[in-house]
Amino acid sequence: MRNSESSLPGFGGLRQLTAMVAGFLLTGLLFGAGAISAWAQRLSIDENPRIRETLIILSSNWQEFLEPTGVLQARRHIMAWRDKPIDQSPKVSESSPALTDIASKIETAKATIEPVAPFFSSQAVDLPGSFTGAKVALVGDSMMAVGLAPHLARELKQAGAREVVRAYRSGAGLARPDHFDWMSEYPRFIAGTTPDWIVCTIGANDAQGFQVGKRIYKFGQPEWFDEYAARVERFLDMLQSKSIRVYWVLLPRMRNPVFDERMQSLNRMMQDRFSGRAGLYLLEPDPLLLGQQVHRYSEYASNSEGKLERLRSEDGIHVTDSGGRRLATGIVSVIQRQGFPGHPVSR
Amino acid sequence: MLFPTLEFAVFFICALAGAWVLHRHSKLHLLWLLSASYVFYAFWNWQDSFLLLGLSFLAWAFGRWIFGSTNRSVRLTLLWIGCLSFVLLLFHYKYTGFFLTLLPRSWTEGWTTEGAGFVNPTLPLGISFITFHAISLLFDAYRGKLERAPGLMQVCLYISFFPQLIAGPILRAAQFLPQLERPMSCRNLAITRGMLLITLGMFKKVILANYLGTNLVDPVFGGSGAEGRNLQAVYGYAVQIYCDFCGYTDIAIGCALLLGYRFPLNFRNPYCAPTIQDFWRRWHITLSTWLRDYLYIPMGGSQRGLTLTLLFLMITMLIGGLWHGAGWQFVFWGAFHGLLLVFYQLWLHVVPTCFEHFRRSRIWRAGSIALTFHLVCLGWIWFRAPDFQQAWLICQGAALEIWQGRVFEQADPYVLVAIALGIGMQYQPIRWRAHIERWIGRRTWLIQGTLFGSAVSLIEFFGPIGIAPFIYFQF
Repeated sequence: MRNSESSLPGFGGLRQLTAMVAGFLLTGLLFGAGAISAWAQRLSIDENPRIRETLIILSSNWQEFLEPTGVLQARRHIMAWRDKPIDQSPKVSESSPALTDIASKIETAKATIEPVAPFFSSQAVDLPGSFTGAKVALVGDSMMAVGLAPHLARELKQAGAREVVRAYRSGAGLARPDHFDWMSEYPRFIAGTTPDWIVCTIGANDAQGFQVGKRIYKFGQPEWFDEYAARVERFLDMLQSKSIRVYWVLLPRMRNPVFDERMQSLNRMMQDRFSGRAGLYLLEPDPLLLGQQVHRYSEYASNSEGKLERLRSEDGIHVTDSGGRRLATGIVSVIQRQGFPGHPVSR
Repeated sequence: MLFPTLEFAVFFICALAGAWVLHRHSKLHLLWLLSASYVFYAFWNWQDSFLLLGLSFLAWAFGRWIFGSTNRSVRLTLLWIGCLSFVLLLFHYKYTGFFLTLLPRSWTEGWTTEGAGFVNPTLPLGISFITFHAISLLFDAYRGKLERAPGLMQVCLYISFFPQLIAGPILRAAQFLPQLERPMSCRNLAITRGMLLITLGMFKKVILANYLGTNLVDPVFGGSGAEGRNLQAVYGYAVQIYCDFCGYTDIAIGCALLLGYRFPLNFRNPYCAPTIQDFWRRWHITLSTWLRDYLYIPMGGSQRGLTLTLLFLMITMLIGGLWHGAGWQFVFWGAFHGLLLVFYQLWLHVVPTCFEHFRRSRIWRAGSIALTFHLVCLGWIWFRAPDFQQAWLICQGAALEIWQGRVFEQADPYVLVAIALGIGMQYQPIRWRAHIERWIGRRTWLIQGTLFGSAVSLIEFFGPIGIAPFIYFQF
């Protein structure tokens, strides 16, 4: 259909717009069949499971129909190239001692800065088996990525860690491997190396139903917790495959009461089923954030100067930079001392 | 729902179809778009839709009163009360927490004890943009720029129109309300340009911004500054934030074009600016002109002598920085740009005009562009870093890399290509895009749809699983 309503190329009326949209949709349905199927799989199982199931069936049938045409191969090839492992762990260059040396001097100077809160003295105690020379992996979802990881990486470096490997991804979790599969992604993150310690926080995205085969597990049901615990078990087996010590930071209290209850149920499951596991240490974040043995949501707390600082971000879920700094200092302190007044460590 | 998602594509096609089916019935057409906008907003948080409706009603009421009053004092009073109401509302949602952290301990002691913890109100999405639209309506009504009294449905749609609701561009009431009030014409729709903008926007956001963020900027800005790639990350963030924001704006403008509306330009190759003043005429144009017209000029602008001009510039940029977020790093960033603008104004006054000829040379221009770009990049470090300490570490790391000659150490070729592409597209001749648009526009419409569908599919193939939020919609 040619331009008939305007002499200028690219301008048209409703018929031209309709033809354009029709061509767009047709092409999108052809080349994007795989994407549509993947999108349908990622839909929430708790909300409208029937719509999800219908969309999955329709998109899968459409994919099967297109398979012989070879149209779907392009997407597979490109995605295979796209998903090849990327080394996300920046390494200290072995051939630039001057750069490392000067930078570490700067960091040592920075370590003399007064800690934020009086409860968290971050004097690095050089215990045997402490962070000195260690490679530490930070594993998790956006609870690690947003606010916590930068400060934790810095604290660990100040505590003597040789390298910090970043193995986190916002939106990831153990409930939906169709969205992000930790079992295959974690080895890519660490790129064949073996960390000495792991600090992990996962679960904020997991309070949702999932599907295994044809069976749907709704969040909150005992079967859901059984299946989820099995996934945590497999995940921990992978993390601890070479007797690596894992510090699992439980989820802090959340502002939304419904979401908070879901997160606390995950915490209870972790404590009930995994507190006796060798090499696994569960850390409760709220006492570390608030500086006292309390377990409640609090957006603000006083710092060492008596000024209020905001600990939690606008979404009532993640920590702010101040909160991340407190949490990071507390985590490193706890790990170094293998304990803390008030025993935030569950084991 | 975020722009480059399947949910939004389905939503937009439905909204587009409905809008054009009803285009001959102007009230139904507006109602359809208004309903679509509220569905879009409610997708994030349906409770906030009531707030949006309330704010729109308040803006309409004040706009009507101001427009309808012939007494200048009354109009001015209503303008002040209206603007103050919206500013206080924005302060309540966005800045209360930040303000609290400034108070001395004795004032806030009771708020931190057990059971008395203060909880910030939930920040409604797009509240900054909503507030600015409302204030624009009040000012334009006061200044007599509105042709007629604003209708309630038009004002509600002006404030909540979904392509610009979450992250701009910031529309002016005087420019957009007439578009809503005139009968819709389905002739001479800029279809190819709209689709081209949507596709380009998706490429910038899904490919360039996402790739640089995930593979360079986030790891380095979350590191300790000693791992290298600090300078690359600084350039990378400059490209990331440009592609992220400009990409979103392109999609918004493209969607509006397909719906028959014209949005103002929001970016004009900002990294080609030879001066910091010119940078702010090219970056987030709708914000900088808003601040100029509704803050800087009402304060006095450049009409009250050099000293006050510089003071007003600083105040405007500080507020501009604070608008981006309730945090000291945004205040610092705004102050940094304010100082740059102040120095530039002083430079214009101090440097003799005998250098004028040299200042028009290509060498001078190239040097100015390079200097301006690097000053802007320096400011971005504080904008992106989680705190001042991290920003300082990044700066030191970058300086060390330059000193040691290790700028390209650990360089990922794809990252470098992405950075080069992001900066290079600033220098793309305007006629190229015009050529491309004309070339595509000469194909049959079905072929055009196929071309754009293929391009979007390729973007999806190369893009990451799931889409990260746009940087600017946190404001």
